Amino acid sequence: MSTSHTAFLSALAVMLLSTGPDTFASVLAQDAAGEVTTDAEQAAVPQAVVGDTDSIWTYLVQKYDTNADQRITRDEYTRDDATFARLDRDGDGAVTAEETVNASRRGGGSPSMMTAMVVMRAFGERTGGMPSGLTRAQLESGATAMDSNADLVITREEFDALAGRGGGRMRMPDMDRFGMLLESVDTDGSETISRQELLAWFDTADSDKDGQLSMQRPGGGGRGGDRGGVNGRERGPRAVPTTEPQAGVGRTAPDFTLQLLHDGAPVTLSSFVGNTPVALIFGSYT
Amino acid sequence: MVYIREAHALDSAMPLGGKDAPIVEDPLLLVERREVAAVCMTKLALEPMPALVDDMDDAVNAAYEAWPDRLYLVAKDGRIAYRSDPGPAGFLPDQLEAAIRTELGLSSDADGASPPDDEMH
Repeated sequence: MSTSHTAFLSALAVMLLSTGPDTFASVLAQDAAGEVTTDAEQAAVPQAVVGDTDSIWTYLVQKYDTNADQRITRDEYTRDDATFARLDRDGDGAVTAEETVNASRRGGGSPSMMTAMVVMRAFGERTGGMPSGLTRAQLESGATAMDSNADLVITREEFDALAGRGGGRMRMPDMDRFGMLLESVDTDGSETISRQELLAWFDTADSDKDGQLSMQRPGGGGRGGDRGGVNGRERGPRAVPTTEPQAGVGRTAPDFTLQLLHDGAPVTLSSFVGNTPVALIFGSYT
Repeated sequence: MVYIREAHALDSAMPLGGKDAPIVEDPLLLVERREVAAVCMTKLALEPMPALVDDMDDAVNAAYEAWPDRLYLVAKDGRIAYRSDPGPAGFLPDQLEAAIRTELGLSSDADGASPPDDEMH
C-alpha cells in the first residue's frame, strides 16, 4: 500500500462508518476488551522493527552491529536463526552491506521473482493478460508491441517508452525495471533484450512447462511453513492453482475474529451479517 | 484495513526500503506486528479507518489469499460481493468503490471523486 491510496481509503472509511448503525464503532463499544498477550510475547522481549533510515544497511548497523565493524554476526543479531539465514545470503556467517541491497537492485538470479513480476507487468498488461499471470503467446505479443522498430531487440528506450510511461499500475518507484530485466534476461551482456533471450528466460522460468507464468501467493500456515513467494525462501513462478478460492465472489466470507489495533478489542466479521456490508482492505506497510 | 504480513520486509526474499520507503523487519511476534501496523496507519494517514491485525498464524491472510494486498466487499448477507485481483496490480480502489455503491444502491456517478492512484508499494 502506498501513500497515494490514502485519500481514497480515508474517504472510504468515512463512507463505511456512515452506512449504518452497526459500525465498527458500535462493535467497539460492545466488545471492549483488554490487551491480549500471547505466551510467545511474554517469553521474548519485543524490539522496534520499523525504521526510517536512508537504507536497510544503515538500519541494521545501528541496531545490531555492536562492535561497529560493518559486519553483523550471528552473536550480534538478536532475532531468530531462520531470519539471520535469509539476511546472510552468502551464508558466510555475517551480514554485510552488499547482502542487504533492495531486491530492485539485485538481479536475484534467474528466474527471480522480481524479474518475473516485471516481465508480467511490462508485457502482460499490454496484451490483456492477467496481471498475475502471463502466457508465452502474451509475452511474444507484448514484446512485439514494445519493439517499435521491429528488429526483435528491445532497448531501454523502447522499454521505457511503453512500460515506463504506463498507467498508475506500472509505476514502481525507485526501481530500475529494465536493469532488473537485463540482469536475468540479457545473457549476452548486450544491454538489450533480444526476442530469443526473452523467450529463453520464459522457458526457464516456466518450470512446470505449462506455457504460463504466475506468481505464487502465500498459502498461510505458521511461521516456518509455507511463507509464500517472497517471504521465506525465494521461488520462481509456478502454475496457477485451478481450485476455486475459499473467498470467491458469491461464497460466504470466511469468518474471523481479529483484534482492533488501537485497543485490542476483538471484532468478528460475522457480527455484521444482516446489518451492514463490510469492506476488507488487506495490506501491509511495505 | 486488515493488516497482514509485510510484502517487502528487509529480511524477506524481496526486501525494499530506504530513502522514502519504509524499513521494516518482518515481525516475529504479535506485538511487533502491531507496532508495524500502528506505524503504517500513522505514516500513511489511514487512521480514520478501523484497523485489525492478522494473527501470527496468518490464518485470515490465507483464507482470503490476501497477500500482498487485496480488496474485498462482504455484502450485508455475509457473502463476498467483490474480490479484487491480487495487489499491487489488482489493488484498484475504484472497483471497490463501485462495488460498495452497488451494494448500497447508490448512484454509480463518481460525483467528483478522483480516480485512485495505484502504484507499486
